[in-house]
Amino acid sequence: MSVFQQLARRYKGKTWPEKILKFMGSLELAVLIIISISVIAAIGTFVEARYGATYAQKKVYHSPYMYFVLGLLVINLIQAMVDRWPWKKRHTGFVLAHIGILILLFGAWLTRYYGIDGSLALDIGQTGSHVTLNDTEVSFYSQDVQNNEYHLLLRKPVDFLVYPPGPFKYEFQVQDLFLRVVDFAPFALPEFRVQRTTHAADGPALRVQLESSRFNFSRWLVLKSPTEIKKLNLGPATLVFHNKQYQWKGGNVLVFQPISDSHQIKYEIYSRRKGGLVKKGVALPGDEVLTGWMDMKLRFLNFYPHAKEEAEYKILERPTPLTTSALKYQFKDEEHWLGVNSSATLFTNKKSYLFAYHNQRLPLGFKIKLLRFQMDRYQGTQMAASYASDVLVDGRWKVRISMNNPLKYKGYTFYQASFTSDESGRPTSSIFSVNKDPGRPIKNLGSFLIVLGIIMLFYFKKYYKTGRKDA
Amino acid sequence: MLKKTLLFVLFSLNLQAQGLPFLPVQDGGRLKPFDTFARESLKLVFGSTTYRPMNKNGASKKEAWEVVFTWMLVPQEWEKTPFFLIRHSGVREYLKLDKKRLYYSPQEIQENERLPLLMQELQTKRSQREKLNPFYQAAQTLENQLLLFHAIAMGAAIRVLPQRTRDSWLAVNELQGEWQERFQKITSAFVKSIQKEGGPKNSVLLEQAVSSFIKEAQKIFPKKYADMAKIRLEVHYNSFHPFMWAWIVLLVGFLFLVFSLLSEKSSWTYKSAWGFSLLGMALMIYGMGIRVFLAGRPPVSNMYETVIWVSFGTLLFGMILEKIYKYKIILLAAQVVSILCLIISDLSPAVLDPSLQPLQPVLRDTFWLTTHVLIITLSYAAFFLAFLLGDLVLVYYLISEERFKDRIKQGVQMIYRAMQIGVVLVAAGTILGGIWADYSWGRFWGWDPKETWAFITLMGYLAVLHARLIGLIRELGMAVSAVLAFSLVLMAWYGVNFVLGAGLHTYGFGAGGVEYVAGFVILHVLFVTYVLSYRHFRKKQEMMR
Repeated sequence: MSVFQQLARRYKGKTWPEKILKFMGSLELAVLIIISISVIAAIGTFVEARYGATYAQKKVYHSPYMYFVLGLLVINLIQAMVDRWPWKKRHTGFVLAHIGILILLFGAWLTRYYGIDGSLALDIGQTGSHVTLNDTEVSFYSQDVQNNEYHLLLRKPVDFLVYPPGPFKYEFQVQDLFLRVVDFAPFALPEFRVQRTTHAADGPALRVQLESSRFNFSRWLVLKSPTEIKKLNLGPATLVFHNKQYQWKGGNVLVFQPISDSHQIKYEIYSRRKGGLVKKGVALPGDEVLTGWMDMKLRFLNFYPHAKEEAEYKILERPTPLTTSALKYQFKDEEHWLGVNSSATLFTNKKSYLFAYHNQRLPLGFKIKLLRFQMDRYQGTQMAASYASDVLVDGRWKVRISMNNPLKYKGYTFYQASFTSDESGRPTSSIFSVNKDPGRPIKNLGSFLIVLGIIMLFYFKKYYKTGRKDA
Repeated sequence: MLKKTLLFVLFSLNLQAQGLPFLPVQDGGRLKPFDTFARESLKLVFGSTTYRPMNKNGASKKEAWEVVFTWMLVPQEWEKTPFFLIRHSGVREYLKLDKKRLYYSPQEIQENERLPLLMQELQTKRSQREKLNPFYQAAQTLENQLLLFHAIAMGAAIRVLPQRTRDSWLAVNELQGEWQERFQKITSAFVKSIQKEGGPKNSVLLEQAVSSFIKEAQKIFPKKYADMAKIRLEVHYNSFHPFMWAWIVLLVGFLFLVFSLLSEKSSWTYKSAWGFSLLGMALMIYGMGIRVFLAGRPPVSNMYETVIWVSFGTLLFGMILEKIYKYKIILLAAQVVSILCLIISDLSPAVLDPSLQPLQPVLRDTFWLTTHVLIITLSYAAFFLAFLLGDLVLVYYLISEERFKDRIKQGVQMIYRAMQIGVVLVAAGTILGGIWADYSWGRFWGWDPKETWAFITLMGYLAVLHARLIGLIRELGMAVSAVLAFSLVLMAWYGVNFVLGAGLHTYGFGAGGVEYVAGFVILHVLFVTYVLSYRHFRKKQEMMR
């Protein structure tokens, strides 16, 4: 007898509403739902491997299909329990496991709609008061050039991945500025290009090449302002570009300093082995200098007294750790890409505006300051074995947050998530994952009931087997 | 075998045994015996933990510690010796190396014109932080081989002496004064011992030199040498191979059980099968115990350890169910799974890395983490058992459905029991994983591929159990489901790390044995199809008659 014949027999002689009601609470539907959820989840993992976690969540795990199937699951579970009413003792495991699933789903829904899941990055000594969320927004500011002030004019949450420009219209009229978002790329690779300028406020830029039989690097060194110091560790040597003063503290270092009102660069070469300065001089773009250690040659390629770095976006099909999402906006018949967490200055006939695309930030309602970051390493290596942050909360409480020891304060929980470090491996900032989850106790209760229910179903059935008819 | 057992006994008696293999060195974030360091280095460079010279027939095997020590003494000899293993054919072709060989000398690799280009490309990939495909992974391995060999040859990689002010130990080439002289004694004793001029006396000299080096260092840095017992135990672990002995013992037990199945009357074969299974179990516990003691963490922190843990879990469940039901086939299935897992872990050190590595900070010191991984992996063991029983039942179907009616019934009952165990464990484990993630990151569920596939596994087996309730699947269906649903476990267990983790584009390249696992799955799909169509065909024939 085939499956379909069996099904036909089971539904024989029933009216349509009865049939539908029976099917809604049936095991056939349950099997179908279980398989559908599995298939969607499986597709999600492949999408994730290719396009990253955020993409997979928005496009697969939180897709309308998934919600539809989960909706069916809720109906199926309720109807299956209603069907068995009044419940007998032997139904204990069944009811517990299935109610557990409903409670778990309810908890998940609470988390999704009322929970907060964000992050907070603090440099050592820095104070923070906002959580950065994954959700994005666009905002417009009017720019007061004289006082260097910005006034918020409009802020709008956007989710271009789920509601992409094209099918959805994004047109903004702010005072005399009209702007349209015309395209969105989830994976854009910013490529920074150095552009020569004439603004006195822009810092200098230098491009050098280091070459030996073992390696060959060429790098731009750009100072955002004339007073900044830029350090770049390339492994064999550290490059330092500055406009003020530099004190050598060890290591193989190449130091460059522009000579004002000329195209010349002063250079100093320090060697770790020789314990100090080995060579110094003045060079012009195009010059080549032998460094004296190993067979390394130093070449000066370009030098601009004033320059700035501009990002250009290369749209990729798949993410890499260096890609960000980017939108394309149209302003005055010109189209430009703008990466997330960056801004563009726009000029109308009357005024100048700032247009920004960034992650939403939520005020915590209190301040948190990173006092100290401590890291233990595995012996004789750079590998972190454990790390912890000492923070000052609300200006009063000194607390240590470490892996698996979160801080709970005013409904928020702060978890030690990761850290960033400079080129020498010294930590510079600590990253916390911050969240608020009203669904937590409910999810835990649901989980507990599910496991308890399954165990009862499998292993305690025989204690109340009496009066059992169906299989 | 006898010799090894004897050595083991001798070892237990003489815990003070010394020698170059016992010299503590600092490497990879921990203190390890030189023996382990040498084995790991030789494995990276040569692809095996013992050395047998190429193109010299009849040359005897050499221990890793002897070989690696000579890299430092006579690097110029090794420069010319073809012992660098380049497994990836793409890299060999790229470097335009002699195609007939797998092993090349360091010299010919370094003088290769295309090597700088390859390294440059690798560097570019790394700076763009792209996932490395198997080709670049192989290039990276080659880079590591070269770096390690040169570091050892220069004496920079073997860190033998603690420092007062710093955490890192001094390498051989950084030793000064009397320490340099003390190490020199080890070197000259070593040279004499391999020249074998003075016979066994020289190996005693070497032991004395090493002992006195350790003793002198111990006097000054007693705290750094507090774990000498661990060092000795690790050398013993390296040479004893408890998991190899476990599968050999289990194999003997398996043969006894087969005899017992063939001749139902003899009870001593059944008892012997039990005896050998218990011995195999004891060996596994012994091996895992040592690993837990040495690494100070539960035995499920990498793929290698989970394979062994599954092997252990399957045998455990098999023995429990066998004790209750005495069907014989359950113990048989458990033995087969256990042996299979242990052999795989023994034979593929390139994929399943047996070395003890330090853990990521987030994975350290948490009760929930440990518990959920142990439990989920145990569920894989239960499903593996159900899978093999499924295979066995299908074989019975193929031979004769009528003759083996009872066996089939028993088998299906056991499949159901094993699936139940698995479902309870995978449900509990997945949820505990959620609780751990919530506790560590504040995220109960994040759709991470590993957790998602554990969830899919749970769903898959739940679908089977629900379908069984309404009679959608019966005896044959249970056997087929047990075999097919195990693909989900393989995906969750292995596929997430080696298929998804490496990126989809690496499919055809066979990164880490993907082709074998895929072959295994496909073979079983074909087998199931064959059994089903064979049975269908025969039923039709019977109806015609």
